[in-house]
Amino acid sequence: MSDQAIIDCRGVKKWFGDFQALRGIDLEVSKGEVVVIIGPSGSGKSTFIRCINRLEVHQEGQIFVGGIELTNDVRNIEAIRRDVGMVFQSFNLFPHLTIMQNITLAPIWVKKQSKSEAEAYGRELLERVGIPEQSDKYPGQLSGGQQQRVAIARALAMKPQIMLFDEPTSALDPEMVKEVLDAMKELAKEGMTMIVVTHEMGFAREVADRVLFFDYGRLVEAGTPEHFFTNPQHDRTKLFLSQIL
Amino acid sequence: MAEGVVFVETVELAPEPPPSGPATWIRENLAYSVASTITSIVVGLVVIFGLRSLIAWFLNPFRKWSSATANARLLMVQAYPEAQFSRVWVSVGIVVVLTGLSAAAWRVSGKVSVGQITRALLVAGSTAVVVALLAPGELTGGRGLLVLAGVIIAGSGYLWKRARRASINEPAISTVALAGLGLILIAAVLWTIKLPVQEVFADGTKEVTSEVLARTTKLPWTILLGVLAVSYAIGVAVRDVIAGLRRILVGLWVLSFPAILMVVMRAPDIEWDTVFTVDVPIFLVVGVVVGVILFVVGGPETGEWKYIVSALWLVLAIMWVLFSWYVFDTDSSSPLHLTSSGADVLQRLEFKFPVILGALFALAAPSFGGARAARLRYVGLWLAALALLISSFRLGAASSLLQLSGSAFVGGLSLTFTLAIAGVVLSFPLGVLLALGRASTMPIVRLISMTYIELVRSVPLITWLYIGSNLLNLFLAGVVDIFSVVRAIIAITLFSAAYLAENVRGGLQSIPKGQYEAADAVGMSVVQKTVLITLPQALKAVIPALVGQVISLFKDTSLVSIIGLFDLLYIARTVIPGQSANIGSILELTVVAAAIYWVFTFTFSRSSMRLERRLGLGTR
Repeated sequence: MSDQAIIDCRGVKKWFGDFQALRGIDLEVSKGEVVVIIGPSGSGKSTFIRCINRLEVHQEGQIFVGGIELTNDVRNIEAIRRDVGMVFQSFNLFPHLTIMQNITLAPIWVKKQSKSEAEAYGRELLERVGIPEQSDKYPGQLSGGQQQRVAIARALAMKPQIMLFDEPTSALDPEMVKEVLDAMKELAKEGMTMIVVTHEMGFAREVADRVLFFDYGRLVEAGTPEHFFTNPQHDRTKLFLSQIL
Repeated sequence: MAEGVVFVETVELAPEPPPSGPATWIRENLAYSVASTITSIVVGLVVIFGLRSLIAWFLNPFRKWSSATANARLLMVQAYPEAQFSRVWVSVGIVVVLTGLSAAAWRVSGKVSVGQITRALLVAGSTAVVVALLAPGELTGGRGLLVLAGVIIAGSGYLWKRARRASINEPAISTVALAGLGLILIAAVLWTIKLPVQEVFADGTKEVTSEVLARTTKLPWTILLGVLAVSYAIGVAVRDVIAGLRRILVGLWVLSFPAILMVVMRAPDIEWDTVFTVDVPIFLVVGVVVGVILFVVGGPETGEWKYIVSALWLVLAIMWVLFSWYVFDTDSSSPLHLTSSGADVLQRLEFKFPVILGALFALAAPSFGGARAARLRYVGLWLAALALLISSFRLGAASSLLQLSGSAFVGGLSLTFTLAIAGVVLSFPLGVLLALGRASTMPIVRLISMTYIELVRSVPLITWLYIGSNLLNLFLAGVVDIFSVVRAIIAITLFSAAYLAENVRGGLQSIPKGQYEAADAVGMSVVQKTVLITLPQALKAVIPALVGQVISLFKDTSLVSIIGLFDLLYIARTVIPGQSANIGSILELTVVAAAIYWVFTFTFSRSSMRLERRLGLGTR
């Protein structure tokens, strides 16, 4: 493991029953790097990033996050989850809590911050994602794009080292995609380490330091965005890009 | 006219009101086709004749409605000693004061439109007219008066409606003013409306006299109505001054039930010597020692040792209680003879139960502790729970000051309420725990919960009541003298918890997987995830089912007559008709009992609908 690698995956394998979802993934991500994972559905890209904060349990191989190995040890899992924020495709905001409560819940109960401290930072985060006026509403009263930005703020409230994005714009109406992508770009500019599973090729091209192409649970090709979108090497990558671009 | 123009509007058509009136309404709703006309006529005739015989039955002079009014006391509190009736009024007063304060704190006041009031007047007046006209001929006494009253009410409603048509849907009249008017009206009714009351004299002669509705209770009820108004006013005055008034009131509501039941109604004979030599020392020692442990365990740093220590503590404490429960005296001839008296065992449990409670608090401490303030709050919660537990022990162990003729100090409607409230309050936490256990990932916990739920659900409540009243005393003979009401409460609680668990489980299953994942992703512990995320959503989702269960529990309490308790229905169906003066009044009394059940369940289901609307608002 290099000194810089904040995430280090070695030969990660995962099965759902007899179906092998991950066939041995090796990946190092260094601090501040933005990695975009693309690939057809069912290629294991979501499963892979969900392994990084152990929403899915990998069966073989090793995953180190910030130097801590993910094992069954609850302490390691809780410690890593505090450092790794995640944004889901379907937002998964807590519908019975207001926006501010959604954001401050984990800092108060998990990080044991005081309520005033958590709320001050929560207001700052809502300002950053551009919806400071919505803090007393409930998630159901917000548009999809606003909800996803709240979800980003909620993940950021824990002051994570790493952010995982699992198709954050796939459930959004086209006109709302931009506002979420803008928030993510802002985050990337500030130097956050990010792994993003997405179908937004424009975003990948503009923001990514590295693009990975997954297919059938394998990492097929990795490279810089220029390499990727102008001169892909693998036949499978070429086919995929030709179909979506 | 210019070339090519076919039509030009010459008179500008103004908007007209839609067709309305009784004829239109009948045409649109009752007679829109041949079949509907016939159906309307047939159904109308059936309803008219049905109502006619129903009214005839109710107004028949041979109905012994006086059996209910003369025995109102029996129906409400059974044989509670008359000398101690002030205790009953204090109990009702506590509820009334809390109701008034809560109504103010939750801002239930609103506005009603003139239209709504006129509609109510119209309905009330028309009903009076219909009833008076339908009543059979021999009941003419007062019919003319009733028709007149109905016509006046309905007519004034109609006239008002016509006069105020323009602003008819504008909410204008405060519900508080209406409620005040209602209270004054009720007070006036208590003092003026007369009902027949039958009195039986020592020589066996009977006399039916006309007496006001609430003979002996009109003064206390009037005072209570005043107290309600005053406490509402106080609530309005302080609701903006006292922060967290609602939270305080919720706490008071929770405390009010055990306080009313165990302190006010039961009148325990507390030995203050024991309190100061036993209870206070136990509270101080356990409270301080566990409090310090909780403060340490609740610290912000993580560590699995906390869970291990707390779990070990819990297991040891439970074993400590279980293994010291049966201390048999081998020298005695009876195999069930016990070395220690009931009071002794209760004394030992008074020390042991707090230790179990402390272990439970310690288990949850890492999840709810944290910063200094949060930890101090948590320790405060622990001390309050401990004080409650120890005082329940003392109050339960104390003998009652009441001179009772029967076995229980509650009977009639007060027993029905005692059983229902205790059943709901106690079965709720148990049911939630069972539901969580059944949804748990730990196979042993899941198996135990599932076995319990399936076993309890598959046997009728009557059977459990019977088992509870007979077996419980065999098992615990001499250990704790559990009196019959408590046995019934235990049986009802255990039974209701199984059903409640299944309802809550349904709610838990309705929560999308994403909610769990989102909670996991921010590093919440299992306890936090359950208490903060899944349980609130699950309970909200199953409110209709829970309300249904509370209603059926309230009615199911009538089964306790099988184990010799005098609940409302038993008194109505068996006790009062057994009096020589009231033989043959069983049907009337059953109808009265049904009406009492209906008033409470209907109020409850209405207020729960309000709650649903309130909770639903803002989240969808």
